[in-house]
Amino acid sequence: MVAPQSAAAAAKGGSAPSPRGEWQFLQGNEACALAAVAAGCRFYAGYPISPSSEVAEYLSSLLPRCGGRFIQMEDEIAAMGAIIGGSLAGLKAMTATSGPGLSLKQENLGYACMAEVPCVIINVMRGGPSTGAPTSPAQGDIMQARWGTHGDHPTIALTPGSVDEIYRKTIRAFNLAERFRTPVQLLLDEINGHMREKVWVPAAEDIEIVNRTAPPPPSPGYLPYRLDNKLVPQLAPFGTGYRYHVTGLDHGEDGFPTNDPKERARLHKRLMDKISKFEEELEDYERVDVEDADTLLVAFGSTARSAMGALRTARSQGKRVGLFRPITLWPFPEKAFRQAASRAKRILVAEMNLGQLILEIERLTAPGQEVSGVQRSDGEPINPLQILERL
Amino acid sequence: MIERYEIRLSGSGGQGLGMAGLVLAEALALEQNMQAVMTQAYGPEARGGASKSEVVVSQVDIHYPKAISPDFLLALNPESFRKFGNDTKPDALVLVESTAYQGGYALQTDRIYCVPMVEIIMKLSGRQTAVNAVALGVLAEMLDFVDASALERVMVRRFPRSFEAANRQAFLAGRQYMLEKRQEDLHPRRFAEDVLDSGCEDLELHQSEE
Amino acid sequence: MTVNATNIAEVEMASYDFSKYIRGRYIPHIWCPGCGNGIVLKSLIRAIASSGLDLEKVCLVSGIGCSSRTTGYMDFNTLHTTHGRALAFATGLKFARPELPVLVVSGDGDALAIGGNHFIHSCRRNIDLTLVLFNNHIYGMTGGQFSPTTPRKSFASTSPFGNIEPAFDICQLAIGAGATYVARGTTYHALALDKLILGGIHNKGFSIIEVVTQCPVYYGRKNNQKSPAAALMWQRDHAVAVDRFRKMTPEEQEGKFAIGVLHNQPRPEYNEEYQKLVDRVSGRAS
Repeated sequence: MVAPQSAAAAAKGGSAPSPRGEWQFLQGNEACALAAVAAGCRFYAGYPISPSSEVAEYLSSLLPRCGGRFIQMEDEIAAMGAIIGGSLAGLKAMTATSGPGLSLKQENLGYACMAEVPCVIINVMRGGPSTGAPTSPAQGDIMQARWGTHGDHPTIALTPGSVDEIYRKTIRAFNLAERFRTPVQLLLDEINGHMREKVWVPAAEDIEIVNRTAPPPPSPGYLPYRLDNKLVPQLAPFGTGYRYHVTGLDHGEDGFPTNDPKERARLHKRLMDKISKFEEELEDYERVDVEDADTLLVAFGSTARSAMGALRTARSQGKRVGLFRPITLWPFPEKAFRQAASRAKRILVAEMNLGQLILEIERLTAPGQEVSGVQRSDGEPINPLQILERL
Repeated sequence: MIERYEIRLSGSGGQGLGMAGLVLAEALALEQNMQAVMTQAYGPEARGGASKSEVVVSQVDIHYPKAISPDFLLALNPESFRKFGNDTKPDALVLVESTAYQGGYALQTDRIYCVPMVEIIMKLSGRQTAVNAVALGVLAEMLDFVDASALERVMVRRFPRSFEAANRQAFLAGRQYMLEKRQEDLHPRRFAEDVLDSGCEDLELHQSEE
Repeated sequence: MTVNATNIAEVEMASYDFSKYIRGRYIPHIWCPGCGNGIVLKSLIRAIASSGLDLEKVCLVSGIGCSSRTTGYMDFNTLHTTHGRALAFATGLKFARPELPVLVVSGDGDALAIGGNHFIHSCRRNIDLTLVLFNNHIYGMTGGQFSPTTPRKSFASTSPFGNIEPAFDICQLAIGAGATYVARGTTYHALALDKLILGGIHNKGFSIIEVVTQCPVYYGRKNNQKSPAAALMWQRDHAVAVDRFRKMTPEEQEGKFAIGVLHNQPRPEYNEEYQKLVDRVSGRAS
């Protein structure tokens, strides 16, 4: 079997395509579950919610058979709490949900940011507000993923397009969570979560796995929130001889609550810096035909597939159209976008909502560039024709 | 060279359309090394009287994963034929369960084949469980880019062993029927009207156990 | 064992070195003078110390509120979580590493109002956690609002005309929801409390120890317990050992509450059941 060419192109920041492995025909949510296990996830806590439930269903079968733990909690909030507990115990932990569930999880998601507990949240997005259309495609959580919880905090969110990419980016989500000691969100949607497609499943030994760094040997001097130039402190699993304190309150390097303004400011700054200073390491995107593009499409997730379809047709008609597809959605790959958009007179942002990512794009465009959106919130996908007629 | 061929498999929820789509798409993607993407009705839509799955096939990358205007439609019951037949291509190939074809449709295509798939499976096993396998057998003989042996391999792989014999028989029966009909060299539209005239027995559709 | 009025008196106060279990650098604590939380904290320490547990492994999880600050002062693996969610975090911790002893400290508002769902489901699931629930009948941290255990007609900062809501009976709620060890103690009967907590630690399953404690500042002041000592005297006069309580007529029980082990009935524990499932399916293909 031969590794897919497209994997090589999109592997920036992900694991390299491997010579060993096999093609499998998988559903998006299924690929996500399989990749989580391949990435070393051994703890899942969740609550049923469409359209993400297959992630839980597959993991309820996979985890007990590979030394992992699967628990269905009493609600979304409990699920988020439980994965934080599981992660502090030393296991790679995840949950899966959708828009309303993410709303409920936000407080504990913020806790994971503050207490710096690595974990992965799969969000198979819906629209909204409220219950919305539980089984229809939408991309309603672009801003919720970024700003849903209160206070200042960085966010890492990835948006794969194909099922093959879901597999690879799920692994990357775990690697980033461990690397940066922070929650990472993987945003899917009803289309790529439920569609089935060919996936290159690499041999286990060819998958790059990042684990949280081992803490120093137990000693009273262990600082779970140590400030040094690495910016990401080492995390000791509970019950292994460190006896430290974890809290959602502003805390000092020892983890104990503090009211000292200097200590508090230092903590907040480090929490922001530990992501913002590594944006190049985090950035992940695809640019197609942007060199001469006077119209630039911006789309992500399954909508980017429609954008690609529209781009191919438009190019065959001689139109100079390019595509910028963010794969790391947060932090938004600003530099790469600005480069891609440098020649564009028009920027067209396609998203299955009434205008969320477009706000970020408007912030990043130069004066004189016209920004408009192809938007849809009626539960139907944006198809290539709908984009094409705007080109 | 197939750039984009859209197949829609429809019927009532529970007739195994998701499984049929999965077997077809996986066979094309993994066994025949083409590009194939499969989607299916989800949630309440998957349970109603008109449910569907779709397979988009190509020899180049597939971007948009859903059918925009199907090249091929399977309809296993009247509701799905009514609901999902309207946006088919003018020259679409249509395979309808005989009891589901009630005439008077606004379809442009005259390539409509009525096949008594329910009758075939009832004669074979007395149960409708594997009507989706019969449909795949017929489909395999209608679409020349579909390799029947690839479908069979995937069917064996994807179903529990206890289903293997019944599915194989049903699949073969579907193929057999189509091979024989092809000998008769009937004009498709006439073929459909013939079935209508013969007054095919009205068989009640049961939920399959898959 | 059953704690009753007779053997409560038999328990002796040891001359105790608490410093070994306390993060002295974070003392003084934030609790008000006369608060019962310190009494519970010391009882917790005595219970853990006598339990034979490996101190390096002991985990202590709390939510938000006055009682939940307990975790910070105790020198174990401590996790101070979000409001009401201590049991959810603790469930994750315990489920990930069942060999760790996990205790949870929470208050009446934390565990029964905002965290009520986790409370009943932890009881039902019977996961091996020991919950020490500080019941001071009030939200202390936020300034004395009424809670799900504030007695009817009590005054609180949000019931200036008297509380019109009935209170939960925490222990009955826990028994109904399936907890396998349910006990109630008071800060007045501090030494008996050690044994109740110890019983919870030893129970393989979900254990809850309700501790009736005093909030002199926000509850006592407004409700005829003019001093911390008066609040303790109220406990002394209203708590009845469970064996004796059960022999009393309903009229005699009126206004009193039972203390001791109210319920102890083992049931399959969650982690053990999960392990059985793993043994059954491991090595199985999909």
